[in-house]
Amino acid sequence: MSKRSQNFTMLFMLLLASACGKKDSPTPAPNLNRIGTPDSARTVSDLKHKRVRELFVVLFEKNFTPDEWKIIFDQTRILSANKKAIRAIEGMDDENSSEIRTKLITENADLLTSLAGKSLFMMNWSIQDENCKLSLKEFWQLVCKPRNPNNPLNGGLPHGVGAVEWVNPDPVTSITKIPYLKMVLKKELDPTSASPLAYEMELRLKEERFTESESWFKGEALPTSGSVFVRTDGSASSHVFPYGYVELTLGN
Amino acid sequence: MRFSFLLASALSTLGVTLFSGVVHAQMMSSYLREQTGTLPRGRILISMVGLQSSIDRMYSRTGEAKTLSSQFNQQVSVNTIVKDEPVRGSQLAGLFLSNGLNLSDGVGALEGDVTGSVNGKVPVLGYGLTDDLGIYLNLPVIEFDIRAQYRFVQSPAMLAFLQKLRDSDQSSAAREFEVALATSLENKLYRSQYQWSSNLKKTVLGDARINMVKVLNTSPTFQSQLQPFVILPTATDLDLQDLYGLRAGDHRLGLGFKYAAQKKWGMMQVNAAATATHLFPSEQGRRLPKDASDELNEWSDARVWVAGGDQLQGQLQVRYPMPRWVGFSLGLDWKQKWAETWFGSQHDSESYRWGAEKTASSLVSTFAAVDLNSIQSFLEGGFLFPATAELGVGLPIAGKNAIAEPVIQLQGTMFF
Repeated sequence: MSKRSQNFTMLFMLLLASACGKKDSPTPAPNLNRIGTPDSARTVSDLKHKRVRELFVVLFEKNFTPDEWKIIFDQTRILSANKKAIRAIEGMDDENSSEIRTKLITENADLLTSLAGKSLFMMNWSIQDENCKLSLKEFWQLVCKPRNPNNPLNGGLPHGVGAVEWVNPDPVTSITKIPYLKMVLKKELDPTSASPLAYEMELRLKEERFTESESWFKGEALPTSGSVFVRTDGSASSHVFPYGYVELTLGN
Repeated sequence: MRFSFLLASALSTLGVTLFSGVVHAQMMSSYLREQTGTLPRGRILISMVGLQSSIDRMYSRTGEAKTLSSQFNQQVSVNTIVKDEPVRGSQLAGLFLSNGLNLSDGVGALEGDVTGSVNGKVPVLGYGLTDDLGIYLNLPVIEFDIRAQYRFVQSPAMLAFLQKLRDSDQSSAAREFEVALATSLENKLYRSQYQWSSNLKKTVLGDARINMVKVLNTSPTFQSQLQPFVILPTATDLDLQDLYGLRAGDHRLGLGFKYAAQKKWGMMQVNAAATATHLFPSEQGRRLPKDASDELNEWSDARVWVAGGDQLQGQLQVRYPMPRWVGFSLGLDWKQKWAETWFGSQHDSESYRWGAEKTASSLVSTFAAVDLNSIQSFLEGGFLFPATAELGVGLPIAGKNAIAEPVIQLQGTMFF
């Protein structure tokens, strides 16, 4: 199995764990009766001391043709539906459920491997690996510790830069049309490492839904010009498609 | 993991065809009732012409009379959106294709409502240098009043697409698409560096004009005159951020000649006149199309060398004066302005050519007027002061790139 395949098998397991809710996970079930509307006025303090349950970022090196993008969207939609189905049958111990679960897991593994083959950069943090939370110091910021240097998808362990803040963009002048949570991640060049990985990216996180205990975000990852990423063969690339994808789950 | 979400915000603009016929189309059915006399030596004339017109309907460049609102309206397809996004267009196309929309599908329609009016005031000052030579100065002041609003109406296909996003846990993506569509026109204008105002009132100066009037023939049945004139570039240059491209003059120095003649058969007067105007080249700001199909003129260049745009005008008029103080006139007026030629270095030469080609305009109109004058009564001691007043209406018949609405004119003149 190639290094890339190994990485994405690992990624798949991480995502799956996140999607299903591990037995030792403190993740509460979403309270569907109390889902807030994302248009509600929000402040960062609404999210105070929330921990990062999952942060997933993917960047592509190049633009694709419409048909290639269509395949990516098709695959992600199936992935998402499968994750939801797996979550729905979690805890059911009958043979049929177990069989379906195994089939969905296998299908998602294949889809993730295919998607990963098209990406330049993937990062997946879990609450266990990076232990990040929003803390109020001079301002609300992302603080992580301790961290897991052995997570193959730790993205080089970037740190939060500046304030985490809600932005209400002008829908006419901004490329982002609805309010979003702004978070900036930065990975500085490590002088002790041969890796040229060094980047900064702004995450524009739009709240999909929230409960008292959890908030789900999806949005764009906008890498800063001059960022350098590392392909799976170890070569450096400063060419990155300027609009990546991010998902974030915050919880208690 | 739902990648489609990141594309929602890419739907920032839509291509629009808006006011394409207006930008250089302020030719309107105003008229000047022809006269062949001039002021006696030492006499002064003070006159004010007031004119009013709606600009609700315009003649297109192909000669079709259309409402401004209809130029606002536009069906928008998936392809329009994709083409308008140079970076994320392909990604957006993939998202649409993945969610059941084809590139040729319509996503909805821009529907607009635009109304407006032009109010002009043209003060004229004249002086009789000799009994057959006079000098006249006029300076138009034009007020534009435009009200516009628009909305985006989503097609059933777009509504189904948005519902599909919501059904697949992408409600925020659906929300962002809705906002992007609702603000698409304003965003397009913002990106093209236009200023958008739903309620615009703007008063601008036109080009001042100085006419010398030389009377050539003064026989009782035939009179004629020659009017050399100079146009001074007092009009403000095109405001490159003005969506409507409103101006009241070319802002170019010009020279011209007019010949006017009057033949009398009994009480009936028949007047004919021809005017030729040449405008000298000038450096001006211009909006430019980025491609042949760009009707919004998304690019601009503040330093364009503008030449051409010469004009011809002809008029034929019949007037029947009642004894002493009333006259009725009917007339036919033809105006033609040839296309300008533009030269610039900021964009490729094709853009300048495409933009300049849109500047040609023409208009054929009729007019009817009634005039009252006290000159004869004054000369005979029957009235306190010499004055004239005239009320008329100009009616457009056909045109290109011109205002297709009637013009109401009122003129008052006093002599000292």
